[in-house]
Amino acid sequence: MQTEERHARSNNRAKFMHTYITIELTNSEGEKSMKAIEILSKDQRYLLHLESLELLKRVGVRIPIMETLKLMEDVGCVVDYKEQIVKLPPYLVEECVRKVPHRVTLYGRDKKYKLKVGGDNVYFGTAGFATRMLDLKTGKDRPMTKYDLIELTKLADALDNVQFYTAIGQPLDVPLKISDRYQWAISLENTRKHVMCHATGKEAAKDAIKMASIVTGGEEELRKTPITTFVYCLSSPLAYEKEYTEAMIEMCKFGLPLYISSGPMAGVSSPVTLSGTLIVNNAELLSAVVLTRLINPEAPMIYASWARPTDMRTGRAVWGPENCLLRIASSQLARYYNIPCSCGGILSDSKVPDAQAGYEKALTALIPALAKTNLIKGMGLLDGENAASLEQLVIDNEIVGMISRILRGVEITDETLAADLILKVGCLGSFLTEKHTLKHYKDELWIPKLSDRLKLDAWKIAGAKTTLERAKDIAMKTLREHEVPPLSKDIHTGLWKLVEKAERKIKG
Amino acid sequence: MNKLEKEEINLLNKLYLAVINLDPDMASEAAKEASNLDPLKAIEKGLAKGVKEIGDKFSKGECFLPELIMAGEAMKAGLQVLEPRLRRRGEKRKTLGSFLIGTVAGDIHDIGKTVVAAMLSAHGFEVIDLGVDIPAQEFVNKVKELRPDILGLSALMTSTMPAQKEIIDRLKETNLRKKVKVIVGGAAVTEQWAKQIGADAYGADALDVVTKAKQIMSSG
Repeated sequence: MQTEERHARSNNRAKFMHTYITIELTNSEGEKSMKAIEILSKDQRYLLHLESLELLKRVGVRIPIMETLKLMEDVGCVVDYKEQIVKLPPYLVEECVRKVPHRVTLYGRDKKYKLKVGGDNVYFGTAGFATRMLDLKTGKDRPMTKYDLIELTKLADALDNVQFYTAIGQPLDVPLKISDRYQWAISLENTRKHVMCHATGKEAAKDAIKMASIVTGGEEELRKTPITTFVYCLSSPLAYEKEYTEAMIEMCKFGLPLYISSGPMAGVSSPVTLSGTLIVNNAELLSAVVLTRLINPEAPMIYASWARPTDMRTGRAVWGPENCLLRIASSQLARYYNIPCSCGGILSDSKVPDAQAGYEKALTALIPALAKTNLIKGMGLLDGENAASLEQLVIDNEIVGMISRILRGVEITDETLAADLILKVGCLGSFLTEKHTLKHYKDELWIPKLSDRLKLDAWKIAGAKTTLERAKDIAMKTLREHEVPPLSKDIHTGLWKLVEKAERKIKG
Repeated sequence: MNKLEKEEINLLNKLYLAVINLDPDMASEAAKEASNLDPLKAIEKGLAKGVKEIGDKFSKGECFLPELIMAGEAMKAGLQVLEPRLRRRGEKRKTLGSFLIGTVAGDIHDIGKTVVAAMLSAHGFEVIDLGVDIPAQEFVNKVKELRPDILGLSALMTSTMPAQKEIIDRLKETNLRKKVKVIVGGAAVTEQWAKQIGADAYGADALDVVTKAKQIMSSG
C-alpha cells in the first residue's frame, strides 16, 4: 500500500514536471500579445472583397461631376454621362488600393499631439455634426451656439484621452452657409490637438486650407505636418454629393489627409443583412480609393466605416449591437487592404448622459478598439450624433481611459512577474510597502478621474454625487482652469479675416 | 548664517527629501548623519514635514497609496534612529495625540488599517500599529500600558465585527473605557454599529478617521 502511494505521488510529480516543460516550450517570443479580434474567416473576407468589386463593376457609383467622370473614363471605367454613373473595372480598383499609403502621421498644432494612424494603433476622438447642446447648467437641450463649440473644443483640448478633435457641432447662431468656416476657425484656435472638419464646396475647401496653412506657417509645412484632416461622407447607396465632393477633390489635390466615411443604414440605404451592408460600405470606400488615387496618388486616405443598423420602429440610424459586428468586419477589410481605418464608435442613442449612454458607449468603444480600428470617433456626443454634452465628454474621457488600459494588455517580463519579490514578501506579507509597487502601480493600475470607488459612507460624506454630477463638476472646473495656449495675434486675425470675408460674400 | 546653521539646514533638508523621495534607506542614513542635531527638531522639521506634504497631496488626489505608505515607511526608518536618542534625553515628540491601532481578532485584513495609520501619521499623530488578528485582551493590555489618546479598531468582515464590541466591553470591565476614546471602522462597519457598541466615533474612510481623531483631540 505504502509503495503504491509513493509510486502514485512520484507519477504525479512527473506529470507536473511534464506540464511545466510544455508551457515553457510554447511561450514563443515575438508573437503579438494582443491580436485584433476578428469575426470573418479569410475566405469570408475575400468573398466580401470580390462581391464589392462586382458591385463596382455592375452597379458603379454616381458622381455628378463631369470632369471627374471624364478622368475615370480615361483610365478604363465605363461611364453613363446621362445618369452620371461610373462603373469601375476590378483591376483598376485593386491597382489603386495598392497605392494608398499604409500609414499616415497626423499632427496637432502642438507637435506633441502626434498620431501614427495605421497598423495596430488605436486612438479616440470626437466626431461632428451635432446641432443641439445639452446646457451645462440646466441639463436641458437647446440649439448649439458658437460659444458652445468653443467650450467643447477647450474641454476636448484639456481632457487627456481625447486624442484628436473633430469639430463636435455646427453652431446655429452663425450664417448657416458658412458655418463650416466657423468650425475650422474655432477648432484651430481652441485646441492644440489634430483637427478634423468638413467643408462644403470648393471655396470652403480653399478657405480651410488657407486657415490651416496660416496656423502651420505655410502650405508646405501643412503638407509635411498635416494638422488637419478633411472629413468627407459618401451618400449611400453608392453616390457622391456634388458640392461636398468638389471640396474633397480640392483637398485631395492639395494633399491633405482625407477621412472618407461611408455610412449605409442596414435595411434603408443598404440591404438589411449585415453582410449586404458590408459590401455596399466597402464598395463605396473602394470607389473613393480609386477617385482619390486618380486625383492625387499620394494623398493619405482613412477608410472610415460608419455603416449602421436601422431601428425598425423609427427608421433612425442607431448604435445597437450590430455596430460592434460591423466595426470588427470593416476593420478586418481595411487591414486586408492595409489602409488606415476609422469608425464611428463610443456613441449612443440616449438623449442624456444616463445608463443607456453608458452601456452603449462602452460597447461601441471597446469592440472597435479590440478590433484595432485606428481612429474611433464619437466622444462627447449623444442622441446619435445630434447632440453634444460637456458632461458626456468627461464621461467618455473616462471610458477611453479604461479602454486604453485594456489595450496595453498584460506585460510579462521578469520585472513584472516579480517572482523574487513574492518570495521576499512571503505568505501574508504586504506588497504595499515595497518599492516595486511604487515603481509600477501607475502603469499597471488604472487610476480613475471620474468614477466613484469610495466606501458607501465616504461617498455620502463627499456629497453622494452621481456620475453626472461629478462629470459636471469636472467640466466646470476644467473650463474655469484650463487655458489653451493662444495663437499669435497675426494668426488669430488671419483666421477670422477669412471667416469675415466668406460672410461678406454670402451677404453680397 | 554661520557654518553650524548651514549644516543644520542641510541635514534637515536631507531628512525631508528622504521622505519626499519615499526612500527609507536614505531616511535612515540622514537620521544617522544628524547625530548632532536636536532629535526633536530633526523629526518635526525634517521627517514630519515631508510626511505632511505627501499626506496633503494624497488628500487632494495628487498622489496615491504607494506614496503615502512609502513616505510613512521612510519616516519610520528615520524615527528608528532618532527616537532612542529622544528617549535618552527624556523628551517626547509633540504630536496631535497618540493613536493605537490594530485589526481585531480573527481578521487578517491589513490594508484599510495600514492606510488609516499612514494618514494619521501624515497628519501629525503618533501611531502605534499593533498589526492584524490582535486578540481583545492584547488591545486592553496595550491601552493600559501605553495610555494612548485614541484606540482604533478595524474589522473588515461582519464575522469579526463583534470583536470590536468585545474589546469595548472589556475596556469597561477594567475601568479603562473612560481613559481612551475608541474609533471603529472597516468595510462592513457603519455609523449605527459604532453607536450600538458604544464607540466614540466611526471612521468612514482614512480621511474621515483623521477628521474624527482631530475632533476628539480638540474637544479634549
